[in-house]
Amino acid sequence: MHDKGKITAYQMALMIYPTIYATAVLMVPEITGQYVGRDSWAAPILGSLNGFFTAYVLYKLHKMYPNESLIQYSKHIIGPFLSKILGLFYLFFFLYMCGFILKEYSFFIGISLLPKTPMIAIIGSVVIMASLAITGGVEILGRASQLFVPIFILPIPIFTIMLLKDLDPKNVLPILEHGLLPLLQGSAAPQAWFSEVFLISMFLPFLKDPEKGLKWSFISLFAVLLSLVSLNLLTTFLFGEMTASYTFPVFKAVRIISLSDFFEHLEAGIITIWILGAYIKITVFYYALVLGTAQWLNLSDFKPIVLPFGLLISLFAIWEFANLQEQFEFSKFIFPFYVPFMLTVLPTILLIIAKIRTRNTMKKEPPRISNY
Amino acid sequence: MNETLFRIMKALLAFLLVLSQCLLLTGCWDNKELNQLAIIVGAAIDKEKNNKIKLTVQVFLPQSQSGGQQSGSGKAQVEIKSAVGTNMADAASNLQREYSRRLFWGHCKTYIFGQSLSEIGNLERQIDFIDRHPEPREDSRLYVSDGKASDILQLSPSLEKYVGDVLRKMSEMHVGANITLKDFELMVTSEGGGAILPLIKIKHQNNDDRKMNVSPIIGGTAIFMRGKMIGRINEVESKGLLWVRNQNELPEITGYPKKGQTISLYLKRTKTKLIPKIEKGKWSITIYISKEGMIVQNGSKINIMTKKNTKRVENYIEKDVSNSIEKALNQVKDGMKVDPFGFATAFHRKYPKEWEKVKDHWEVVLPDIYVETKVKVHVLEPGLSTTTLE
Repeated sequence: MHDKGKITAYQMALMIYPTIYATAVLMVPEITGQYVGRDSWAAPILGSLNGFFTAYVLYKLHKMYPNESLIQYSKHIIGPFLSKILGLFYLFFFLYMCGFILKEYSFFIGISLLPKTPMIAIIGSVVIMASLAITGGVEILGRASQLFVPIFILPIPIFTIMLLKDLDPKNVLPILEHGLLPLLQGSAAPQAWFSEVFLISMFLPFLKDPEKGLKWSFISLFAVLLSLVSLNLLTTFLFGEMTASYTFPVFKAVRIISLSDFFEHLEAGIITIWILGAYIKITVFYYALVLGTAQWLNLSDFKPIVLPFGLLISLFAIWEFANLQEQFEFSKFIFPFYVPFMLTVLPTILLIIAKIRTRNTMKKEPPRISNY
Repeated sequence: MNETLFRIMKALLAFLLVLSQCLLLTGCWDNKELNQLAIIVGAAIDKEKNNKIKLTVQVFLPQSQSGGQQSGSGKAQVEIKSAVGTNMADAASNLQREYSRRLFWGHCKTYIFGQSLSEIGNLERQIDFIDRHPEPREDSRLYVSDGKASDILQLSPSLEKYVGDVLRKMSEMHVGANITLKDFELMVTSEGGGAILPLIKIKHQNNDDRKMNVSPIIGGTAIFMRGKMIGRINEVESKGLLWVRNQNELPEITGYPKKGQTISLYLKRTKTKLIPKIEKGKWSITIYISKEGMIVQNGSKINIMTKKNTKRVENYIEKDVSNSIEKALNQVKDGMKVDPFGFATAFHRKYPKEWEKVKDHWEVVLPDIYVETKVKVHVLEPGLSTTTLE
């Protein structure tokens, strides 16, 4: 064990919620809107199926190898050599995702609040904060999300109420005008985001109450589903078909809030709250990267590699995309295949192999129960 | 002992590190002090020669606010300058050459477009700047001026500090159409593509004092097809149009029982429903309008205290309402062949398949659509008098 901390399943759920939702809230309404227009509220519902499936697969794997993460237990399933290669894939994937999230974060902050600030300052400041939390271990992450995530959820109901007078529910009609195909295309992006629930595999070994792990993962997924559906409904009620023509529809919606002439320009406050969620998301991926590397290399402690990896993910964030358009294109066409492949398909294959192997060993030695 | 000292040092260091993040709160590269900004409070965009535009802005002068005594109407609190450019961003950067402070769009909530610019079309290309630039707001209001837009900004109204404020407050009171940037975008991209913007005129109060106390008025509505202004209607017709769009105009309506007799209602509630219908290939739409209000003036011989007469009063007012709607439909639907009423959207929502067939030649189908108006006015109270003085 690299980290002696223990968290509760509830804390894990609080970490997973912003891990999926924090960046989905920025990009998903625009991307789904392009395909499904006013039916964008239905896309996350389809997409969430993948999330529930992924969580179930990883929980099953965790049940078989309770004290290890995916990087570690893969060697019991596919042998030490292949598992090292698979581990490398995952570590690179985490590294890439950290860069992806940081880049998205800095683009959004750059457009909305700090247009002249150099990207490295925006990225650097959040990476320093994240590395501080990670050095503290998993318990700090759990506590931090317990502190931040309730605040992070708050804005949705608040600005729904504030926008109430501008909403027109008739904008969702007619429902499914062009059939189901656009809906399937539109749910490609949300399902990729939902598959990020994979990160529970890094946290399940630390649970004090592992039997509640699946339940709380599902609750967390359901909360994300609810949030995304309500946000997509909100933007459709507000903008109708125009939703897809805004880069960040939810941000536009917040800017429209104006109550009795003085309660307006709320976006700065909303962004501040959003940063709390984005911070948790960055920290969770960063932690998965650092802990995974330590497990992969059989290091005795992961703390010494936190800061070097911080530098590396900052560099990745700067290298990954030249502009926001490129990132949007990537999120639309590559992300929906790349991410679920790593986070859903590969674990499913591992689970199938593991099941077959345990069955075979059971046949050979009937009295002995597998003690992996 | 050494151990505790070390731990205290460590905590202190961590605290300082966290504290150092506070430095970032000022937004180093992006800090904006009030004395570095020239705050724009109103903008007007006009057509110029060679496909160019002229951008006129009103910049708020903070100095005139300081100084204890009330300067009153003596000193202008805004300054007006203009520059020519190929588009709004270009003109704005040309304008920047004349200012020592950075032009700031965040408080500009009024954009007035000149009539000639609106009529050449592609207004959305100018509006794109307001939509895309992070500073201008989505709830800014758009207007079209009768004549040059920059003339409107030159006025110095008596009650408010600057023209933009006058227009915005009028719109919020529902004088004329109340159209924000978001509303206009939604209309232009809607199925029918018909859009409206309030039309501003200048009204001279008296002849001897030409510049002072001249206020802009919202007189009618400019009708757009996509980004092109194709016509205008007057106040009466605008009232009808806005009622169909389920928006309020000013709350008073007057009915005319007989020649020379009047009766006025102050509307408290008004509601519109569009019910489209396709029967045997025949397209029709029914406009249900219901209004509730209180009588505020009875200039007729009707005794409004009886149930039977109240019905009559309601009928007179209903006639007036359907009259303005009829006029608006005549002018806009049949005359200009544009649909700012939202008929196309109503058809699309109820008959998506049939809509698919006509959506490319909507302007041909539109004049043939039979429109029925059903107005129901409900008088709630007689006001504070029961009888008239007659």
